Amino acid sequence: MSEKESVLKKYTDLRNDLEAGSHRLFLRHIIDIYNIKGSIEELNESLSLDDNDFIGALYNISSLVEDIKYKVITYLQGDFPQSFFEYNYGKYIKDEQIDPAIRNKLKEIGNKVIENEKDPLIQRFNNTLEKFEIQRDNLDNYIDSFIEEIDGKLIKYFIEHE
Amino acid sequence: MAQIEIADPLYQAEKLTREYAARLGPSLIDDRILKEFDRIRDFITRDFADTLSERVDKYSELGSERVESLTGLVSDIDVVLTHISRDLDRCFEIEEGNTCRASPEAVDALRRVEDRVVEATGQKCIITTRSVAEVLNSLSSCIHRVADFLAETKAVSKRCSISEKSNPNNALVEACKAWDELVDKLNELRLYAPEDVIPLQGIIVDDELMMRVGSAAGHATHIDLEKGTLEYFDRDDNVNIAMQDYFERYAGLDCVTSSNGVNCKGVNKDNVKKVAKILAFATSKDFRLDNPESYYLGNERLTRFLSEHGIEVPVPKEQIQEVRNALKEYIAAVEEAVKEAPTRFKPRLEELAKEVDEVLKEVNKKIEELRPLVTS
Repeated sequence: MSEKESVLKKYTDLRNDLEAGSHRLFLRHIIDIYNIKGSIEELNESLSLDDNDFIGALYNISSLVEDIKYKVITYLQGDFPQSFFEYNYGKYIKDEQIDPAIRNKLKEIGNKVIENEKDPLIQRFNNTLEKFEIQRDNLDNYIDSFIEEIDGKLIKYFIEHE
Repeated sequence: MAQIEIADPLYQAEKLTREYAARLGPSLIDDRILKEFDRIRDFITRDFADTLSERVDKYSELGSERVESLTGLVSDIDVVLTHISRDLDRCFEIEEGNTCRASPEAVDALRRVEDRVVEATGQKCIITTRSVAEVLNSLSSCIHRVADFLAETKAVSKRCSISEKSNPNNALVEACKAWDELVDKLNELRLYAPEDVIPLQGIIVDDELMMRVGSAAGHATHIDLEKGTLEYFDRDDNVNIAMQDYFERYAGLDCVTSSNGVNCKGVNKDNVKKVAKILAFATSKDFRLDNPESYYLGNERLTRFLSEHGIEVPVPKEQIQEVRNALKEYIAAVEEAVKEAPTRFKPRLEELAKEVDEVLKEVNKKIEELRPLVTS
């Protein structure tokens, strides 16, 4: 492949990646806010369950949290967060075969994406999500060892008593 | 013509070859004798082969490695019969009867059959091999050994059977019965998935107990009391780790876990009942690990049993409260984000979209400039 062909290929790839990004930014419009509110309502209901039922509903709760996470990111960041930007456009910003003016514009977009992500509201959302995931994993791990304890106690009982 | 009277095709094959060998001894080879041989051969390659395959599969599913050597038995027997057929044709031509000698190829093939039989049953089966009649008589003896080894079983409890032709170890019979009773109790306590209970069974052959402990293919166990070993087959790492712990902690075995299951040493007549009881907990263990809420926390029968028998199990209240608190904070953050989004984030995203489109236009322009240069 000649150098010109290689450069053309890079621009073609960049165009495809930009079109994908543009599409993601547009996705914000299709997020149904009532759908998020409905999921929040379900999560609120799960808070009133007793401990056993709450553990029973844990898988469903996790699924709802995950679903809301995607929708909120799309609603606030157009499904165009910093991680997406860096993964898809970082290589073009560093590539000297790409026009410096285009690279600069990409860099400016990147800075705005980073700035947006620093918004306290998004920070709070990400922090509370992370905290929930940590506590849920702790509970999962505890449940695993707790089950071992039940089977172990039953084995001991049936070996000793019958 | 030999009559087929016995129901079990394995014993039918033994009877047919034995009687044919006896008839062959004093007779001259004629058309009738040759045709009868073809009939016996058809029976062995069809009915005998089908039954053998079914029985071998049944024992394999239970984790018996001994039967693996029997997988190629029918084709090895067929090689013997092919050479015998040639020997008979030769003897027919030269009118030899009781002196019809067996070819070295027929004898070699018979030895390969015997090797397989020894590997499975531990017993030799060749008697003499000078004449075709003697080779067939030995072949009949080999088939008999296999038929005895794979004989139909007799139930000794709901899920346990013994091989009637073997000498089942009493400690294993008692261990299997204890496992069987505990399976019923754990099933009543709703610790099993219904589909896992149906295939459960144990078969005792001499000093070996072969068990099917779940519905998944290969979920089996093999206890060899003579060697003092236990092989538990499972591909679920979490279950294997738990089972190793139970075998070591509650039966005093020495175990190693691999991706295929758990192998233990130290099984003896004194602890085999404990081992069998522990195996009752292998069934549906994967389901219980994945669904603790339905099998443990929300399982009223189990909770009642634990409380009636003074078995304390603490509910992880503190950890549950932490998850509740984190969930409340997450909900609050989402509600605030959704409320603020239209005024705070929408304009930013519209601006970003505009800028991305502008870069896109620039890039398209570049592509248009470069394309003619590349194509020319």
